[in-house]
Parts: sequence; structure tokens; C-alpha cells
Amino acid sequence: MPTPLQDLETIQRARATVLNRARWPVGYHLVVAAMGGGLVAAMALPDPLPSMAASLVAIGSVLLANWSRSRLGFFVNGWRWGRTLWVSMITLAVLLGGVTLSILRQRLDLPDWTPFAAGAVVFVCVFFTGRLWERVYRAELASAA
Amino acid sequence: MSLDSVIHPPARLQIAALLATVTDAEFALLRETTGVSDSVLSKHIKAMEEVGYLRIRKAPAGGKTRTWLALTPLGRSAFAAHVKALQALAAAAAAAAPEVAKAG
Repeated sequence: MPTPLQDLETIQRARATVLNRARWPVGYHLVVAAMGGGLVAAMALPDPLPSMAASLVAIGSVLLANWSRSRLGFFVNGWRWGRTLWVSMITLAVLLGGVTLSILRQRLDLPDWTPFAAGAVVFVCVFFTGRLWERVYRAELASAA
Repeated sequence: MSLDSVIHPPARLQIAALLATVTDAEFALLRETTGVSDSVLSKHIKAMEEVGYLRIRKAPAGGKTRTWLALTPLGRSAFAAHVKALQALAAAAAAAAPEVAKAG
């Protein structure tokens, strides 16, 4: 019969399995960032292109999840509870800020290129928050159970 | 705070610990992690599914049907409670150890 300490070590070894595999290539983060930035920039385009962009992002999200499952053997939803949540919230705030700015550009009398600039900013932010999310997730897995 | 008898066996503890860190994971990864045979792993999975701790999904991929497993919200909270109970027991054992040494 294992001791409680041995059971906690067993848990840690199982987490290490995920830790050893939980590495997403730079290209993955670039695709996620491109989807976020593209969604914001598409708000400047005439209908029905914004809706089409949103559909493409939804399809892209499914494809990325399937890629993760086939490559890593597991999938981790970025919007999970845990230590990564604050990073996810920052990403969401950046995305919502970019979309809101793009939608309200006419009412706020902003230049026509505003959605494209916002899209570029969102692209950079989402890329770095994606990388940060991965680091925080790995740190969470490495910490003791 | 008590230990969960469904999660407590080592293989199930490993299954729950791995699934608690991800959204879902493939059967093959769990087999690799636990080091048990397919049939033994299936029995553990079935036991956890019967109490509502696990959700099983089968999906075709690359011409084969793959099995994906995920902890349910009930399974996640049961695992979290089990870990807390283990931590409390480990802390109690660590606190008692110096007393035993003194008495010896």
C-alpha cells in the first residue's frame, strides 16, 4: 500500500508526462495570432467578409485542436481554469478591444486603416500571450501536486 | 476529508492526474503513462466512467478509431478533493515523524 507521499509522487510523474510533451511550435502560436489579428482586421472589410473571417477562425480553431491531439496525444483548451487563466483573460481583453475599436471606428471618426493597425497590434499581443500561456502552463505542471 | 476509493488505486490515480491537466487525452497516452495493458486500462477506465468521473469519446483519425478520455466536472472535483486529502495525510505524517524520532 503506497504512502500518501508516494501517491503524490505518482501524481507528479503523471503530470510530468504532459509536461514533457507540452511544447507548441512557434508556427502554432503564429497561426493563433494570425487568426486573432485577422479577425480584427476583417472588421474593416465589407459584408459578408467579417462573418466569413469569423467562420474561418472557428474552423481554424477546430483544426488546431485536432493538430494538437494528433501531435501531442492530448488537447488543452486555452480557456481552462488554473494558473493560465489570467493570461487567457489578457488575450480575451486584447481581442475584444481590437474588435470593439474596429467596429466603432466610424462612430469614433477614426481613420479607415484603424482595423488593420488594431489587427497588427492584436497579432503581436496574441503571439506573445500565447507563448506566455505555454510557459505558465508548463510551470503549473512542474509545480508539486 | 477522506480518500476517494475509486481514484485511489495507483493506475487510476495516474489516469486522473494526467486528465486533470488537459481537456482530453488519447487512450495510448494513458497506456504509456500507466504502463498497464490495454485490457487492464480499459477496466480502470470503465470503473471511473461508471461513477461519472470519466467521459469517453471515439473518433476516427488516420483510418483508425481513436479513443479520447476526459475527466467530467465531477471527476475533476473528486480528484482535487483526493489530492487535498493526500496532502493533509502527508503533512500529518511529516509532522508526526519528528515526534516518533524523539520518542525512539
